[in-house]
Amino acid sequence: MKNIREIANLAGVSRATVSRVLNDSPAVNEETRAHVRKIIQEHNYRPNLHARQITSEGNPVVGVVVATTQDPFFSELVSGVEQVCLARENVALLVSEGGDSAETERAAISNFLARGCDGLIVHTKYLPDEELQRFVKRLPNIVFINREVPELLNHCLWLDNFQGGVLAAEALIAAGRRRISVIGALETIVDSEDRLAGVRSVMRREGLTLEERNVFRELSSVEGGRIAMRRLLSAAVDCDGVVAFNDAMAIGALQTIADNGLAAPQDISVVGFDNLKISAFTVPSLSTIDYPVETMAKRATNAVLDMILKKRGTDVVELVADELGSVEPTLIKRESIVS
Amino acid sequence: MATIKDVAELAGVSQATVSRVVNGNSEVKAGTRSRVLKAIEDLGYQPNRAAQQLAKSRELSLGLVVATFSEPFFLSLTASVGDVCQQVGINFVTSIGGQVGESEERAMRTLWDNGCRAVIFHSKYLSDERLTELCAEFSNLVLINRFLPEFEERCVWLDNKYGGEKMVKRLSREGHAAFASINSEFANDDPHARAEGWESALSTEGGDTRLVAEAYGEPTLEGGYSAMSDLLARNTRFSALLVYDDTMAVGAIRALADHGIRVPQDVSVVGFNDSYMARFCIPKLTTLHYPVVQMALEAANVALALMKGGEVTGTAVLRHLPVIIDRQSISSAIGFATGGAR
Repeated sequence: MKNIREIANLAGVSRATVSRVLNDSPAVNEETRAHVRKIIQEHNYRPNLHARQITSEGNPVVGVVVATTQDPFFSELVSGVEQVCLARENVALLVSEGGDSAETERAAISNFLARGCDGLIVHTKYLPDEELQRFVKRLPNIVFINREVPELLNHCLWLDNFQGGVLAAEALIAAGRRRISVIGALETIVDSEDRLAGVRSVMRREGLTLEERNVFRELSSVEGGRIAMRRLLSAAVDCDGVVAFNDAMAIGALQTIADNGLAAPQDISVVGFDNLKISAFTVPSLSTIDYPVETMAKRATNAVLDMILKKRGTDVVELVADELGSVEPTLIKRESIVS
Repeated sequence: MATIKDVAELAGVSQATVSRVVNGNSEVKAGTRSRVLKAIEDLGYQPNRAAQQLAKSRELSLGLVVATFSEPFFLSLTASVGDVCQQVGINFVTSIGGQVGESEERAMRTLWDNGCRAVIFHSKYLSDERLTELCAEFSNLVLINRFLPEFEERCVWLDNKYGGEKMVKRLSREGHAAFASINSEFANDDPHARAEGWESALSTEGGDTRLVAEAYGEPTLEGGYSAMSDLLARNTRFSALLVYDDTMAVGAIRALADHGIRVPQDVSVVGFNDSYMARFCIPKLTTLHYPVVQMALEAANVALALMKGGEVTGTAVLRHLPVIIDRQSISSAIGFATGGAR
């Protein structure tokens, strides 16, 4: 790869002249300009692109809203978005936290719209469907990850949480665990309720009941999982298997189990949800439900960019339909359910 | 295109001096100034005038370059700098540096070209030499987690060597003498500085304290796992493990478990960063806390001071120290005779 000095030598001019030709400066006579351009073309010279990547009109700005940035699940989501943005080049990316209420989520999205984002990828837990519809009216180039809004199916990509709950409960049953408790999210959010409904449906099928006193709700974090498991053990609930709302809570539960001199899976089986990268490396490694959020984020981002870039005209709906819709969860079997 | 380095060489001065001349700083002797100006003319050197003009016509903007938005560390950095900008009422622009020096530099230049009056730059891949050139070219460039002697007043950095020393001391206090280490194989500052700290503290401890084995890998879960496996294959005996960061530590602990070695009962482990990996680790990981928020605030203050056209004041805290966070991955070495990893 030639550098500017070599191009200048080949052309028999100064580096400054080459630079002026590249920048279309008028201070170069026509002959020289043509000559230098020829050399540049022959040698496939490409200048250091720094100045050329200034965000000018036409370069899309994409915003992503996640509940928190200090969490591995959302890190994987943002990673998916970022990879696509970087691969497409000249796409600017902004990240904002939606927080833990409808109010904060609304503010995050509104802020992005006010700043003129061209498209958004949004993970929202609290905003009701009607509000999401209103946002899409203002800016059509939005994809919601993990929401299934009947009026906005062309803007939604979601994991079948109910089915995930089913798989988690089935895994425990298959391992012979029938005294099942749930470590659930304190926040009243759709994901948690759908997963719980899936668990309940399996238990009903097995002739078992999931009492409310066997459901321990805490904030969906490692600490929350720790506390919920501690409450479970203190309540002396008869339990040989736990379904946790997500991997973070499951890992917290495993920590508490270890702290109390018990062993998973021998004393209590644990199944998580998300299949975070770390779940393969915990001791014991965590059986979980795969939530391919990074891949989903890439799909959502491609859909949003397609929507943005094809703004003038063509039927985008078909183009993006491939990327959106529902995603099937799968069970990842590791060590924490069965010895 | 002539660079500031070329000008400095031709004029026989430092890059910092060239920078002062270009920016109209009056503290340059007349003779030196004319030498520099002549060199600039001879070489056809073009300072970034376009950006300077653009900046004047726009509202005040502060830029930040981070490697990626997919790691909480960088988002924490971003959020902290963003908070300061919001309080002070200036515009905040971010750019992703990517995984190589060229993209980092490009991201940085994009911010200038977009009118940022100061840029906070987290660079992992550019060489000290190149960063020094950039600091000379851009007088309002602030570095975070790099240290350049020539521009130390613009560097907000974590003393990784000190951190490495702390890790050893914490374990020595529990009676550990046979140490093993796992470090990142990437050739940037942090792994090198941490290892320097390990070496220095180990030799200070004296007695029978020694590093019995070391291994390297990518700074990932898998990298920590395979480095630990390498190390265990060598059949050396150790009771304390120093790891480059929390992520590698989690991988290493998993590898130890696969070999029937328990943490902390058989081997004590210390990580670095206090990232979510440390909190998600089983057992909970003792580590060094990386004071990213304080560093971000400090960098923002330095950048603001430069934007106001001033020199950086003497009150800036540039050198930051990591702090031990005690959790569950360390135990006393007494009883090592029966435990440890062999």
